[in-house]
Amino acid sequence: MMGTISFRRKAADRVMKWVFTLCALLVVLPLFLIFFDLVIKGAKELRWTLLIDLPHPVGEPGGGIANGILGTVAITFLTMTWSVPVAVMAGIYLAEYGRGKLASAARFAVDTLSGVPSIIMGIFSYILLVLPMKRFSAWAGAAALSMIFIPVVVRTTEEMLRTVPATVREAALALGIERWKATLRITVRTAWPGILTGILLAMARIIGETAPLLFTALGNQFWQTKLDQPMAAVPLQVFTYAISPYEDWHDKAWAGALVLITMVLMINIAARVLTREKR
Amino acid sequence: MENVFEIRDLSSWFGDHQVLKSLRMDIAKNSVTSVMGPSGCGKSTFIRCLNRMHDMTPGFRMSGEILLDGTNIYSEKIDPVYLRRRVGMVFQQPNPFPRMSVFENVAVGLKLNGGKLSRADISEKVERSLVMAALWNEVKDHLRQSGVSLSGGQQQRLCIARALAVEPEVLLMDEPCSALDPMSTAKIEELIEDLSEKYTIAVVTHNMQQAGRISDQVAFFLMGELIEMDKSGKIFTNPSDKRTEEYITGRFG
Amino acid sequence: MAAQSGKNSRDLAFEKASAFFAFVVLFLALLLFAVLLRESIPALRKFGAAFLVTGTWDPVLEKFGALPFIYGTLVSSFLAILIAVPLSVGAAIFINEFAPPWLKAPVSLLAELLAAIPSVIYGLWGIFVLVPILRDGLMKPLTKYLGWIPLFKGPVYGPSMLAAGVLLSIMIIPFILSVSREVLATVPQRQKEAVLSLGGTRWEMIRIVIGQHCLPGIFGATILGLGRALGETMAVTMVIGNRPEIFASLFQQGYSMAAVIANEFAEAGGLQLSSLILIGLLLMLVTLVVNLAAKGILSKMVARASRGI
Repeated sequence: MMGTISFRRKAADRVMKWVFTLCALLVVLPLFLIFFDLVIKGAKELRWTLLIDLPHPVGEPGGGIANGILGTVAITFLTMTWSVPVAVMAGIYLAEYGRGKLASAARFAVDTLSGVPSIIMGIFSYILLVLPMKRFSAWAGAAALSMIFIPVVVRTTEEMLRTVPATVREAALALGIERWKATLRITVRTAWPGILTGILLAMARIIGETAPLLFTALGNQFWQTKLDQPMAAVPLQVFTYAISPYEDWHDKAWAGALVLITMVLMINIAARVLTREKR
Repeated sequence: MENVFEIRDLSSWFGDHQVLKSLRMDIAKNSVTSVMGPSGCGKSTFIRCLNRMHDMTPGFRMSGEILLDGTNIYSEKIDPVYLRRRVGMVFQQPNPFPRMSVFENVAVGLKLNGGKLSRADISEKVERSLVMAALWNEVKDHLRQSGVSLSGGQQQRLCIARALAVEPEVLLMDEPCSALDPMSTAKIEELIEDLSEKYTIAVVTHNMQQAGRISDQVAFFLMGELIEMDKSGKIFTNPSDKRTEEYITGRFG
Repeated sequence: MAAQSGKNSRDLAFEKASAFFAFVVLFLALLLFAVLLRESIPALRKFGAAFLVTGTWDPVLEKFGALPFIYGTLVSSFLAILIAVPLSVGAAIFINEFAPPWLKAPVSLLAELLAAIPSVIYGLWGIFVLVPILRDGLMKPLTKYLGWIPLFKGPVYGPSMLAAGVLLSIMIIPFILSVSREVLATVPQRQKEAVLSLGGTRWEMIRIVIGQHCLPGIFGATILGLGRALGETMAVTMVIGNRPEIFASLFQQGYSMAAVIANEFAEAGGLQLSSLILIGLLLMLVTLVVNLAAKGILSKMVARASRGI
């Protein structure tokens, strides 16, 4: 009698162990598949010309995504120009002075914004910028992206500043350093690697965003450097090529995706290297 | 002998809870004063009143006067930031600034205090402070090393150097050796003796032998009151108050 | 009263400046709501609550109803949850309980990498790899043999509710996985040891201790995953077929709220634009409620864990 129960229980244990292992395998499998496809299919169209050339009309071989790369860089840079100071300062306020009603409300606002789908930020920018300006523009794209960037960085900045022990602030105060100087030059400095990591990870995220740009920056087939005009971006190009009916554009989509994922991964790795250096 | 600090009728509260009761004492210039007593007697609270560290504590209230060279440090005229440059503090847990080198730790008070000092001036002052803190020889070839990579005792001496760099008159020390090993403790006690030639020092300690070794005057606190304050020799051999005697002989701790 | 620390003119200026930026963030959140609400009013006024249950989407006749999109968003997201939660929890149990120590970090890293992949790349892979596999390997066979079941009815083209659900599940797994791992880690070691020392098998220990302890947390992770799935745009629009109709079959095409906004917004105007914005407002409100619920559940669980329950 005992033997039978034991066998059933042991069998159940062994089966469940394999079930869980299978779950883990299934979870990581798509990652390998996607990367495999990205590399194999992306390499087909991957030449130097991809990075330097402008898109060619349908049917004409060659061509590239240079305007998209420029656009992504420009829009990202633009976004970060105002988003980084706003987000870091807000994070400093929440961590160092954050006990009153304004702080609670701001924190709630940050939590709320973090959960809003990114396409809604595109709508926001469309209403506030595209409609009055009567045109799509890089500005509008950057505005939409900053609504995604800012909440993330406010949160990571506040978290990182909170990890600075109270003893650091105490020591600074006891030295007769003004509070604002102590906050910026000592507390923030101490937390800086973590804050920078948060900024880089947020940057990697907005580089990959497509939805907020669909009707703000819109995309552009040509080389375009004006910020008040529609501008290309790599994710937008990947999307356009992917849903097109042309085979060679599909190949370009994979190549563009490979470029995009490379950019995203490089920044992610840079961010993690930074945190490691802190130790 | 001239008094640096004159404390008159100092009482303090955290919220409704009274921590210090009508304290009255004098701290003489270039003396070493130990403040001792059992846990919770208010000695740390007291010492932090002397450099207004409680300004940042919500719910803190005080009454009475603390005169530094004749002026009440809690008066409107006194800028607390400036006060803390004249009255420095070293804490129980050594707390050098992380992510800063030994050099930067000592220099930071100088750099951020608004003075426009040349790099040569700063280097000189850093060296002088480290020499005074008896740490120079150990770190002179490693000034760019991280401050937190030093041993516990070295870190505490680094904190002392950091406090000395802004050239205070008074040095407050809140149980500076309780987190250190006996050898480092001995080094710092020796240091305190040397420093007292130039600085006025007040040390909070729960170690009676230490109080006896290093101080000129000893103040005994109990439940927020100053029970007795006298030359250290007298306190330990012939205390006036029965409670002091009971504490010294170990009837309570 | 004496001059206060941290209150000299420069300190106050800095405090006010940083407070200003915090206010900016608050203001942007309020502005977002206000602007979306204002622009959806025309559609609200014209259609009222019927907007939620009407199925027509006709720009010519200017009749708009969001039902197909709501249906598509909900069905694809729930399908994603159905697939993702068991897999994520299973993988979390594997990593925390069965994996050798050297395996834990790499597997977590891989899961994190999955989270970093942009949505459009998932969509690209979805169109050219996932959809063909599902179509030829799963949907066509099932339609052939079980096509009389409404859920599996053909014709099968490829892009479908099923494809969207599967793709979404892959995308939300990293999030559910990481929260699940945290939840699992809150189980006190001594409770686990108690079961094992009584002669229980590993599986029994997991079932008993973790099942009792972690269900609220797992539920919270599920809700969190749902919140993410509801708002996903690019990947969904690339594989769902973008057809504003409601079918019972999972193999048929559909549409989602985010997808219709993505496809029609750029060229919309007037009442259509207002309707799209109203859909956006609805989407935002739903994801907000879901996310707040998730946070509420999870923070309560964290509080319980820190009290040692």
